[in-house]
Amino acid sequence: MNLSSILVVTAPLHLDSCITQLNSLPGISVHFSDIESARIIIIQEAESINAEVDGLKCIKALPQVLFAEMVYHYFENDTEAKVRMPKDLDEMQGLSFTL
Amino acid sequence: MSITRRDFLKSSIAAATAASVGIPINSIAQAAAGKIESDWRWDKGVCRFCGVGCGIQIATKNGRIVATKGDPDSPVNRGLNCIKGYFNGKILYGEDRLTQPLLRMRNGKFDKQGDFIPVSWARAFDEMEHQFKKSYAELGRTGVAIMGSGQYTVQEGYAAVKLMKAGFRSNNIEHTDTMVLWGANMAEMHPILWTRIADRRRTNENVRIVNLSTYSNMSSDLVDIEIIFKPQTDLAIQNYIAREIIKRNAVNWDFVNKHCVFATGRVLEYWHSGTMTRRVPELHLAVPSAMLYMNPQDAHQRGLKRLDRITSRKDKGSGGNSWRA
Repeated sequence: MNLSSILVVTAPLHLDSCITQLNSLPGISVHFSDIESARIIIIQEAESINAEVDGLKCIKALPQVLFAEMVYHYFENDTEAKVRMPKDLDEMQGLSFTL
Repeated sequence: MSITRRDFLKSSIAAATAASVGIPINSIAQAAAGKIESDWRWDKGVCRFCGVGCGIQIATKNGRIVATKGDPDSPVNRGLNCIKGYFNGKILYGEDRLTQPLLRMRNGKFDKQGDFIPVSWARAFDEMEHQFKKSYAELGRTGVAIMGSGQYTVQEGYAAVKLMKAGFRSNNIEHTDTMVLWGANMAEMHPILWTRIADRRRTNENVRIVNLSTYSNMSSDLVDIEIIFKPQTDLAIQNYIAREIIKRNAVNWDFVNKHCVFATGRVLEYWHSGTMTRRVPELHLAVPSAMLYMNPQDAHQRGLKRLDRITSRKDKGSGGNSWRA
């Protein structure tokens, strides 16, 4: 599993449409955005390094994207997608966890 | 409602990223950012891919790297990574990566012509020590050198230089007789070292200093030979040096015969008096024979027609070429 966080910068005018476009890309989820600085934090999930690089290129190619660069990279080889959440965090978020 | 670990990881990483680039997030997200990393160990490093020196942070869990991120405290990259630095963690786990020392061996002994055989680290270090000591015993400080890199951290560079200078007593300015400054204004950029070069020059009349620069500078005051060249034309100086080496028969033929392969053919696109000389393998593939493109007016002035066979000549000391039909 490869998870990348990417900082995307656009123009304030285009923030909303840029978020919509990013959300429509495969493997991309938008998590945070800041209207003042027109910055967006997205997470990309990809199968391989090549897929990650290709994904970043697609983002950079979006007409409204002024800048997109990676910040944080998480990778591990486990196949276990579901494990128990830390209990206190579940409670904090008001979530219950079912397997 | 169920939440997968994957989703949890995603929101944690997004929150950590937002925090490191200064995007305001709420306290729940902040808590999530810290939670995922609770059993990780974060260490600082320097990216190894280019000379910029971006700071990176590396997270390990059970001795394995699980994540990397740009160091938000680094004044160079301020938390960002480019696509090369981004994969610093992953390069350790490439399929073709060497994971143990390999030694060229034949009949159980080190042999430069032998095959690579996996050996222990102890065996590898023993061999390196043995070979190093052999060279050092034979030639002393002139027989050893260190291969450095701009990717050294300051601490690594310091340790390496101290080892060479104080330990092996090599790389010593006080023992050299020729110094060449090539595009380096040492008097201003490395004044401390420059004072030692100046001392060496003053106390030994056989010492010569050569300055190759695009302009006369503070270093010029002390040098014996100075060549001022136009920016990006010093390839001609290199060619001149190569020619002199051949002319004076100072070629190390043993090395050339063993290790060099020479090829001819067009490898350069030469235009604008060579200031924009480029390698063009693609062009060579497309049009294998040599050809010359020229502005029609220039061609007319020179009495050249399309598809003429042209002789190109580089006149000594001139900036450009002359062409004749």
